[in-house]
Amino acid sequence: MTTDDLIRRLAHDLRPVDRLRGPWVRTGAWLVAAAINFLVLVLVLARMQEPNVAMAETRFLVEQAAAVALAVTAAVAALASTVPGTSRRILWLPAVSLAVWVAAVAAGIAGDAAAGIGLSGQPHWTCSAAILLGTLGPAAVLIAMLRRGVLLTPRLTASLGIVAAAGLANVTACLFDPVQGSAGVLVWHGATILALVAAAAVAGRHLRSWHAVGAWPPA
Amino acid sequence: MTEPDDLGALMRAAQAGDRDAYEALLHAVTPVVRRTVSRQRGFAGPDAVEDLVQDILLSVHAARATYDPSRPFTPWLHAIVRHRLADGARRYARRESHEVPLEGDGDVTLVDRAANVLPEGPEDVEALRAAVQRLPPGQRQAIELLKFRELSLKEAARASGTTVGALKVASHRGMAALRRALTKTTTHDD
Repeated sequence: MTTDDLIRRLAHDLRPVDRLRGPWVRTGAWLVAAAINFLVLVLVLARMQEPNVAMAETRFLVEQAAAVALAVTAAVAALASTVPGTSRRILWLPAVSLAVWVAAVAAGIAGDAAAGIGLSGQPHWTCSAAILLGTLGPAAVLIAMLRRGVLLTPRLTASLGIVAAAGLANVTACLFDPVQGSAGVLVWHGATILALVAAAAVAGRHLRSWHAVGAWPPA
Repeated sequence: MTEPDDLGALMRAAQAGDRDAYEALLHAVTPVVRRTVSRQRGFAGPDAVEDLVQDILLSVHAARATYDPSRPFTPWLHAIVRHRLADGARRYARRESHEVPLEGDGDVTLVDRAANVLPEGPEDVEALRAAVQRLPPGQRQAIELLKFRELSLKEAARASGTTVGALKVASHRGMAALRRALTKTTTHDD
C-alpha cells in the first residue's frame, strides 16, 4: 500500500473521537473512584481493628496529608506521561510530595525516638496486606485510564500509577495501624509500596501497545 | 506550507470527524515525518523509511484523542515520531541480532545431506507450499507467522492468540515435519 493510499483510507474511515481531558481533571475522576474504594475498606477494617490512637496528632495528620499529596501528584504525572508532547517537568511533581512525606516520617521517627518508641521486632503482615488490598481497586481503575492514552514510557507510567494507588492505600492502612511509631510505617508500609512499584516497573512493559489507543483496525 | 497553528486546527476538526481536514493534515505532516525518518534511518533504505512513515501515520491516527487543541501540534507530533523511531530501532536491532550475514553466494554446506539440496526451480517452491498446506493448522500457522511473515515470537503469539511456548513447540514440530516431507520428496526425485 502506498502512503497516499493509506492516508486516503484513514481519512475515509475516520470517526469522531472523545478527546482526553487534562491530567488534573482525569485525576479528579480517579479520586472519586478511589474514595469509594477507601470508604469500603474503612468500613471493613473498622469491624476488625481499633482505629489508630495517633489519629488526632498533628504529626500523623501531616504524614497522611503528604501521602495524599503524593498519591494525587503521582496520578497526575502518570496520566500526563501518556499524552505525547507533555513537558517532562510534570513527572517531577511526585518527587516534591515524596520529599515532604519522607521528611514528615523522619520527623516522626525522631519524635518517637525521643519518647523511647522504636521499631518493634514483630512482623506486621496485616499492614502489607491492607496496602496490597487497598491498592488493587484504584490501581485497576487508573491502569484502564492510562491505557486510553499513549504508553510512551510504560514502565515509568505503571510505576507512577502504583505509587498513586499505594499512596492512598497507605492512608487507609495507617488509620487502623497496629504498628507503633513512624519507624514501623517507614519499614512496613514503605517496603510494601517499594515492592509494588518494582513489580509495576517489571510488568509495565507488557502494557506497551500503540493498539491500546482505540481499536485496530483504526476506528 | 501549512503553519503549525493550522495543523492544530486541522487536527481539532479531525477529532470531530472532518475527513477532508484529516486528509489535509496527514498530507501536510507526511513530508515532515519523512524528512525526520530519512535523517535518522536513511541507512535502512527507502522502503524501510516509507514503512516507518506509514507506521507513524497509523500511530498519529491511533493517538488522535490525546491531542489537546489548546497546546501546539508540533511537539505532540514529534513526541510520537521520536517514540515510533525508537520502537523501530528496537525491532531492527532484534532482527539483526538473529541474522548471520553469509559471505559469497551463500554456498554453505550443512552436516545434514538432505539440507544441502538447493532449490532448483519452481517445483521446489511448489513442493514446499504443498508441504506447508499439509501441516496441522497449529503448525501451519506457526510456520506462516514466524518464517514467512518473520514476526517475532511475541508478535506472533499476539496475532495467533496463543502463548510463546506453544508457538515454539508448534514451529519446531512444523519444521521437523517439513524436513521429513521435503526429504522424502528429494529421495523420490533421486
